[in-house]
Formats: sequence, C-alpha cells, structure tokens
Amino acid sequence: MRLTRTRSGPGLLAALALAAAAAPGCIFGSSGDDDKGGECVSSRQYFLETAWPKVFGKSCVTCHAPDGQAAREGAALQLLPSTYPGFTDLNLESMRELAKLSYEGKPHLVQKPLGVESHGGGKVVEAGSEEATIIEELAARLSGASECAEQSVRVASFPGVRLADPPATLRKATLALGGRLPTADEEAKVAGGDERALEAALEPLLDEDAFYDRLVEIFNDAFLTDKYLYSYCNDDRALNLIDDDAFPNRFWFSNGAKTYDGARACCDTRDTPECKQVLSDWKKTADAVAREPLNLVRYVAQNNLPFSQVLTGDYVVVNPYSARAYGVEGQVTFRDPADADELQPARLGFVRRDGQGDDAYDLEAAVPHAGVLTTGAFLNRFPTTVTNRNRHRARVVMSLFLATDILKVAERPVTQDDQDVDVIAPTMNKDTCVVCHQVLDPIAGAFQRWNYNDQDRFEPEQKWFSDMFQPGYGKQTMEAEYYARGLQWLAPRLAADPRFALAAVYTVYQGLTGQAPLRYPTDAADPLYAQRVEAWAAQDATFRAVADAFVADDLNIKTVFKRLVASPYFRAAAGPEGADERARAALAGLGAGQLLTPEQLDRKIGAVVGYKWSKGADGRDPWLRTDFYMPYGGHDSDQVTARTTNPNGVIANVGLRMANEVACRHTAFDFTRPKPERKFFPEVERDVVPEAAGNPVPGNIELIKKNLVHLHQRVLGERLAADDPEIERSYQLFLETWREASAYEGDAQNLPFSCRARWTSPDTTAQEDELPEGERIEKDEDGTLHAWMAVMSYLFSDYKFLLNY
Amino acid sequence: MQRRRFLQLAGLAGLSFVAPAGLRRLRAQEGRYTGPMWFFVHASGGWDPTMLCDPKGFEPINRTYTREQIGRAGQIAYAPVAYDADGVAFSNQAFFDKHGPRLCVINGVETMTNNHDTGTVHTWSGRLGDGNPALGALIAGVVAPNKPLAFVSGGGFDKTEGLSTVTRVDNVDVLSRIAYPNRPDPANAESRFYSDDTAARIAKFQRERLDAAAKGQTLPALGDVTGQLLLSRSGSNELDLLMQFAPSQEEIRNAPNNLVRQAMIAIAGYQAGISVCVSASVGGFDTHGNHDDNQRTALGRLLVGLDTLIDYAGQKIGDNFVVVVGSDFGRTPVYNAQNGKDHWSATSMMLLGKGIRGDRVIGATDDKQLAVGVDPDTLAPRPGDRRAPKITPGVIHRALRQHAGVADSEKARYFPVSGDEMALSFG
Repeated sequence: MRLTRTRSGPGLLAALALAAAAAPGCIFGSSGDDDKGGECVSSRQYFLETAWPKVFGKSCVTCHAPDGQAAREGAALQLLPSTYPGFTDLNLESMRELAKLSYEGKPHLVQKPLGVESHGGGKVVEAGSEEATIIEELAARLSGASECAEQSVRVASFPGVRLADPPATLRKATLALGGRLPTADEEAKVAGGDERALEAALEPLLDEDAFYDRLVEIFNDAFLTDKYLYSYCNDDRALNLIDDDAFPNRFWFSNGAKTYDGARACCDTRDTPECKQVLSDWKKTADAVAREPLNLVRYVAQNNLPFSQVLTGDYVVVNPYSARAYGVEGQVTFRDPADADELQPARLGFVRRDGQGDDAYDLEAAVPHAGVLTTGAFLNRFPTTVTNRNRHRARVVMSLFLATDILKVAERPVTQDDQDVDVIAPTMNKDTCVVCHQVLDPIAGAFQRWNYNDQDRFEPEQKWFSDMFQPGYGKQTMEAEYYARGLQWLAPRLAADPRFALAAVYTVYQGLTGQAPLRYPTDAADPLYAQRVEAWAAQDATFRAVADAFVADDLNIKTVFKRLVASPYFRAAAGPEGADERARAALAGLGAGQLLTPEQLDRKIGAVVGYKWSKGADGRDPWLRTDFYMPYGGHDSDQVTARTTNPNGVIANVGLRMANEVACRHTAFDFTRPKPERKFFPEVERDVVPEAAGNPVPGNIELIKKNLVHLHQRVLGERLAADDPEIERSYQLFLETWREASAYEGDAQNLPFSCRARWTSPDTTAQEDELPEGERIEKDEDGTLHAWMAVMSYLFSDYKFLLNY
Repeated sequence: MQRRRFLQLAGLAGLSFVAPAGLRRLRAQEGRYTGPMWFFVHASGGWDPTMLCDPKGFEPINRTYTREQIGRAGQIAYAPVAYDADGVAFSNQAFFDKHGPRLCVINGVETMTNNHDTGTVHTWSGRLGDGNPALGALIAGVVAPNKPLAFVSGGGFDKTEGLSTVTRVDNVDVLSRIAYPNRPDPANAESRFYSDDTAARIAKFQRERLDAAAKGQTLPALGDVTGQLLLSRSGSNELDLLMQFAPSQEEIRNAPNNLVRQAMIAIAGYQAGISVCVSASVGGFDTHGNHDDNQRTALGRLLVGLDTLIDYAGQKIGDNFVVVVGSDFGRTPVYNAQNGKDHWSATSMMLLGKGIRGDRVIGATDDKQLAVGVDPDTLAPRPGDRRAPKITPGVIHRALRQHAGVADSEKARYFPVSGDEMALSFG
C-alpha cells in the first residue's frame, strides 16, 4: 500500500472521494492525482512514523510521561502516552519548545539523551546510533528546517479498495440515518454525480425527524440517560430527577395531591378519562425530563446551532409538559402546547426553603445551566458521593467530550509501594495518583455546588475540599468567584479544546459504523505493528480532517455526518482481491457493515416492506422494540449499557424468524394489489410458472428473473443484471421450491393461516377489514407463492439486509 | 484488540470458508457439550475479603469482630459475619460449614490496580488492561465455538474479543419464538412456514451466498461481521434443544434470587448441550461510605445467591460444574472519614466444583493487608520476602486454563495471561 501526502482542509475528503467516485466501480485511490503530491514528509509524519515508535514512545516516555521520574524531577520535556488523543501534536509542541534551546550549539533535545548535557536519565542513546540520528533529524525539523508546511496532513489512499458508488452510499445512509429508502428523485440526483451531489442529497435527510431520532440514539449510547425514561406507573425515577423543594410542581398533572402518590392513584383506575389524561401527561412530562440531555443534542442539531452548546448552552430544553413541571410555562411560548415533541429553551430559577429550625431561610437562585452537565438526568446518571467528589463525573466528561480515557493516560500497575495509607492526601502527594488526579480533580471541582447525595440539587453555598487540586482546566485555575457557576466556567473551555471536536467525530463514527476508533498500537513487537500504525494514521488523519471541517462549519454536527458518510470509513465496500494478512491489517476500520441495531432494523423493515414487523395490529409494539429488543443486542442504559455488535445464535434466529414472518405476511398479500401498487411482485402473476409439463417456459423465466432483479434491488439495494450469478442463485431457489410446491395436492396447497391474504392490510385481522372472498388468496394452486415466499425469506435474512451494507 | 482482529481474520472468518457439508460434519463431531459448566460470579464494586475469607479481627482493619471471634471451617478461616439478605438469615459460618469441604480460597491476590474497570478486566481475563477476553469467552470459544448459547451473560465481565459470541437472554417466552423460527406458532410443533425440505433449501442458499461474501471480503471490518453471522447461524438451529429443558417464565420470575435468575437459562442450555459458561454479578460492594453495613448487605446477597446457585445447579446438572467468584479488587485496611473503605489492590478469589480440591487456602495477606509473596513451587507464603512473587489474577487464570483444558489452545496462546509461573493447580 502506498501512502500519499496532501494538504488538509475541509475539502480534502470530498476531493479524495471525488477522485474515487469519478470512475465506474469507484476504486478508491486509483486516481493518480493524489499520488502526485510529492514525497515531502512533514515533521508530524516523521514523528508519528519514525521518531515515536523507534525512540520517544519506546524509551523516552518511560521517564518523561506525566507520572514518570523525569516529570517528578521537573524535566522540561513531558511526553504524553499514545493513549492520549492528540498525543502527537501535544508532544510535538513540547519538543518544539525544547528544540529551541541549545547547549554547545546543539539542541537540548539532542544533547541530553546523548549524555553530553546534564540528563537525569544519564546517557540513553549512543552517538551515531539510529536513535541519535532520528532525534537529530526531528530536532532539525522542529527548529524550522523542515521543508513541509506544518499544517500538512497525510491522508492515505487505499489502492484496490472499492467504495460504494453515490447511489449505493445514499441508500445506505438514508436507511441508516433516515430509516427510509431514498426517493427516485434523490437517486436521480446522485446517479452519475459526484460527492457534492451526494452531500446535497444528504442535506434534507439530515433535517428529518427520523434523523434526529437516530442522532438521539447515537448519543444515548454514550450518555445512557434513557435509563430514566418513563416506566408505566412502576416508579417515579424520571421526575425524581427534579429537586422537589425547588420545583414543587413536578407532578402538576396529578388529579389530587401534586405528588407521586397523588399521580399514582390513577394507576389503579387507569381507564377513567381523567386518569388516562393523568397518565398521558405523566409520560410526556417524565420523558421530557429524562431526555433533557438528549433533547438538547436534538435541539442544537435541529436549529443548526454550534454543537458546543451541548456544553455551553445556558438553558435547559423543555417541552410544554416539562415546562409546567418547572413552572416556566409563562417563560416560553409553544406553537402547540399539546405537542410533546416541541422543544424550547428555558432558564430555571427557584425559591427554596433551606436550613433547619431557626436557621431556615428562603434561598432564591438561578440554575447555572451548562448544557447537559447541569441536567438532572446527567447528574444522576453519573452520580457522585462525598468521597468520590465528582471524580467519576470528571472522568465521564473527559470520555464523552474530550475523547480521553483518563485511565489509559497513566495505565500502569499499582505496586504495593503505591499503597501507603499513611500518605496524607495521596491524590495530591503520591506521584502515581497525581498523574491522573491533577487532570481529573480540577474538572471535578467545577461540579462542586451540586449536592453529593441529592445529585440534581443545586447548592450555591456548598463547600469544596482543600485536599484536592484546585478547580480549573488544564493550566488555568478557576477563580473562587466562579465556584458557584463552575460548570459555566468549565464548559466553554472544554468546547474550545481541540479534543471536543474530535470527541464528536468519534461518537458519530461509532454510531455510523458500530466500531470504536482505532487506537494507536502499543505493541511494537507485533509483526503487524507497522500496518497497524498505518491504519491508525490513516484513520486519525481522516478524523482530524472531519474535525477541522466541523470546526470550520461553526460546529454544525451535521457536517460530521456528511463528511464521515463521504469517507471510506463508511463507504468502503470491498478490499483488494487477494489481500494478505498484512495488507488487511492496514485496512482496519474501513467500511461500515455492522449488525444493525434493533431500532435500525425495525425502521429498515418498515421502509422496505411498508409495514412494521410488530406484535400488534397497525404496527403497535414492534417486535424489535419490545420482546426482541434486548435479545437482538439492544441495551437498557442501565444494567446493560453496551450494544451487542456481533451476531450470535439468538440474534441469528431472530433474523430468521423476522424473515419468515415478513415473507409470510407480505407475499400473498402483495399479489392482492394491482401491479403498480405492488412492492415486491410488479413483474409477475401467480400463474407465471417456470416450467410446463417438465419443460422450461422461457417467457415466464424471463419475467421471474425480472422480478428477482426487482427484489434484489428493493430488499438489498443490489442493482443486478438478469444474468448476474446472484440472480441465478435466487432463481434456483425459486425453481427448486416451486418444483416441490407444485406437486402439493389438496390441503397441502393451503398457505399457513398467518400467511393468507384475507384482509385489506397485512397489519390487521379485524373482521371489518376482511377482503371479499373472491379477492382473498389462501391457497397456492400454482406453487409459486411458496416459491416466492422462500425467496422473500432468503432475501430478508440476507447479510445485506441484516447488516449495515 | 490487535490479537482479536487477527483471530477474527485467521480463525473465525476462516471457519466461514468451510463448505456447508463441512459445517454439518463439524456440528456432528462436536455433538452436545458435556464438559463442566462454568459459573463466573463477579462481586461488583470491590469486595472486602476481611469480612469474608481473609479475616483480620483487629483495628484499624476490622471494627466488628476480634481475632478471637474468627471462625474456622476445616482449613478455612472466616470472619464471623451474619446476614439478613433480603429477609433470608445467613452467615459466613453457614456458608463455609456447608461448602468449605469443596471450596478453595485464594487470599493475597494482587490485582495491581485500584481502578474498577482495570481490576475487573484483570480478575476475569488474567491480564491487566483492556483488549483481553473473559475466561468464560475463552473457554466457550475453545470447547464449543458453534454452540448458540456457549457463553451466556447476566452481568459481570463478558468481553469476548471475538473468541465467541455472548448472549443475554432472560425471557423464556421470547426464547421460544426465537428457538423455532420456522413455526408460525412456536407452541405448536406441527405448524410450519415451510416444509423441512424448503427450510433446508433456504438455509443452504443463504449459507452459500454468505460464505461467498465472507470468503471474498478482505476488508477486516466487513469480513469479521459476515464471518460472525455465518458462525452464529451454524449452531443457531440447536436453540430448539434448549426448549426441552428451559424453565418456565414463571419459574424464572420466582427464582430465589437474582444470581440464580441470571443462570437459569444457561443451566437449561447446558442440559441441552449448547451452553458452557455463564457470567453473573452481584453489585453493591463499592462501599466508600458506611462500609460495615453496606458491605454486609452486599456479601449477604452474594453468599445467599451462591448457596442457592450451587444447590440449584446440583439439582439440575449434578456435580459437573465449577464456580469461580471474584471481585474488582479489595478494600483498604483503614476506614475513611465516612466510615467507608476505599479501593485496595489486594483481594481474594474463591473456587468450588468439579476437580477443585476443597478445604484449601492458598496465599495470604499480612497484617497491613498487603499481598504476601509465595514460594512459586510450594505456594507457601513467604512473609517479609519482598522479592517473593505474588499471586496475581494471571497466575490463577493460568491454572484455570489448565483446569479447563484450554491452556494449549491457539486462542489461549493469542491471549497470554500475565504473572509469574507458579506450580498452582486446583486438583
């Protein structure tokens, strides 16, 4: 595999993808344009490909890591481990500073490891060795001798990797993000078009309700706040997220006392009109409160606001129902006060009786909103204790919004020497503790005015701890005057960190592909190490380019979706033929073909079939949202917090049952419709049989294959010619099944009861919806219905239907 | 992660190249799994062994009992702690008196971390740091790679790293619909969407197409998942075997406790020959505040759960099972200002079951609750010898892998455990 160098910028990926899409078949990287980019290697690349794996990441980081010996002794050079996002840039910055200083005419960076200049670690590199040469070259580059612009970013091309063409990409994206098939008009716009046409086609998709639903699902996989969604009368968990002393109207909808018990009285008499109303209002109120963090994400996206407002928004998002719970219905105006989906920003304030006995007083305060961070759902989902002191929250903040797993930054074994219980405030005084806590504790301090027990209760006077690093962020210390609104101080600093944009890219990437971003490989002894570095570097370059575009587009989260959809990480459909293990290792992460989530599969079935696969009539209680949700790999944001991304035996069988039930319900039914209205069988009638008296009927076979072409396109998105081997495979299934079924006699010709077309819709069994007897299809005299059902089962259980192909 | 990718490419996806007839032969050769069933029970949050199987009986470590009150069941010393576990009266004495003869206690296990995630990975994979599979996933992946419920999880550490598939099921009614995909009415054995011939034909054509797709795909991300789908389908038709043994949903609802509930379907799966390992957990051990009461509550639930689980498994599958109990790490030898105990890297593990020599204690902690090094040949504790190697989860896993007969497998070699070589065996 050959890597090429191009300049970074918002248009980079589009340009690459454009080149890839120019020729039919879209072999990514086959265009020669990017290969002419010259051989200049930037300092960043040199560091990444040579200096880090061979010298700095191999030996220097041992002492110069934040918890290393050199750091403890105040060494100027501090190196972050490769587990730290953006470790390359941060380490280069640190080394660039050092490269400016010299001793006997040579940079410190060179002299110290040679032992020429005082070096705490002594002589660690021999003069004239490969390591010494590498350090010298890097120092020269960092001191300004590099001929490449520092902004240059390498993006890999992947010779032989086939990308999905724009129409196929559009179908994949439309199903994955919009839960529908692309319209003929949309397909026409991208057919033969370039990436600009693809991006243009994505624009309206990214403003549909279904996209916002998917966006919420993706972010809930990270936030897990759907744990608090309303559970019918079982508990009051959602409304418990509201401080009842500050907002006593949270059970505003109750008929009697405005309390949980008052509302719950309706659970036993749920069928009265009054109680139906109470229970309906309860759900709409509770879900809006539970969904505050996710509704903020939705609101920001819907209004094309900077995504930073997810942290910096000085408001909470309410619907007409939760507005009443907070008592702010007078503050916001809703177009439709009965529409639970309408979201508006509001600022909360309260008067609360605080203190005890003679010391009791009325506390009047405004909630210092800081986006999701100050929502009850977030604070409760990631709770703290008086001993944990918000550290867990700080860790979550770093993970969700800075793409940083603080545990990885200093992952190394604790020794018994570390476990000295006599050390006072070890988090401040024990090196092995300090390495994380000096980063973590200042962030934790920003949460200091939220009650340790009653997680969502704002306590403007609550004291903080002196045996912790002071509240702040990075090198900045928070002034005491900001403590009462510490999260408002912290949020813009988080959002301004380059890792914030990268974290958003990571989250969206994971939602689009089901894969975690690649990690920089740490096992240099791995025989595939070089290929893994290559794969990581390629993906990292892409992600940083997407992040750049995201920032340039005023942090519009839709830009991240568009760029990632256009990238090979979403579009790659096949690797080079005959690629060996090494070549494949370098292609890690390319392509999105993960098991669809139960929500996505549910929507896809609805899009392709036109009806939900559901337990109840009229699409009520879809199987994949109810009984099969967890078995199919869903999570409950509580006990199970991660999706099952790989198929297992249970998931395989759910897919088979779904395919059989869909085939059963929709095959005969489709034949009851006039041909132009049919979704599956527009080219044939039931009496179109492949053979007569043991001889092929060529005209019928042609029609059958024509219909198979249609089915492959509709169900799988495959555009195949009638003589394609896959059409032939499907035809053989049809033919063999037809031969069996055409021999059935008597009752054997009857379709299974649930497969009979007896009603005007496959979604009902109501008597009033029955078809006239003459229009019903209950028997398969020609054997074709069994054969078509088999083909339908075959296609609906195909990997291209169940996976995100 | 890197190894996982390699395995998926070289192993699992490789299986996808097996012709359909080959797959059938493979299944026939495998037959029903009849080796021991494995239960991995995670005490989530970091338990305090000094309230269980590594008693100290003096302050500042323990406030609730003295040295003189420490109990003993054979070779095993235990803290004299009694429980009211959700209304069930129980005690360490009752537990150790009953199960001590079959129980192997390992004290002074050095997890080398005070971080929950890292400790949990270490305890259950035998290696510090992520990217390593749970032992249950390894055993399932080696001894029954095609069984649909080979590794069932009700909680705890269940990362597979591609070695096997993990299944979470707790609803038998739903399972019956899943087990019989060719029955319109799952309860009616006579109902069929398709004749057996047609159903087999559809499956054959599916397999051929999927096999071609997996074989031709050289992008790891896409090749892995198609290979996994093929693999998962290769044994999915055995799910119907489970229904012969599955408890009713009512029985599951009325399970004596949550630990048993987490294991019931897996035990039925084992009876059907399609389950090997189950991962389960009991929470509530992260007792930073009010330690004695809160730890007692959690331990009570754990021990009552273990007691009933062992009895339940005994009734259903005889003595052909192994139970392994562990936690993230231990708790500090001092109380904090909130009467809680914080994280401490020294902990204990307990084992019981098929082939495990009982009435045995291995390893130790000292009076500061630090893990004591041992003689690697005799495993005798060597107090004061700071150079003596310590028992780590990796040391235990090495022995457990031997016990399970998977130590020399290719998959085990790709995920080596850490820790010193010791002459540890459980037989």
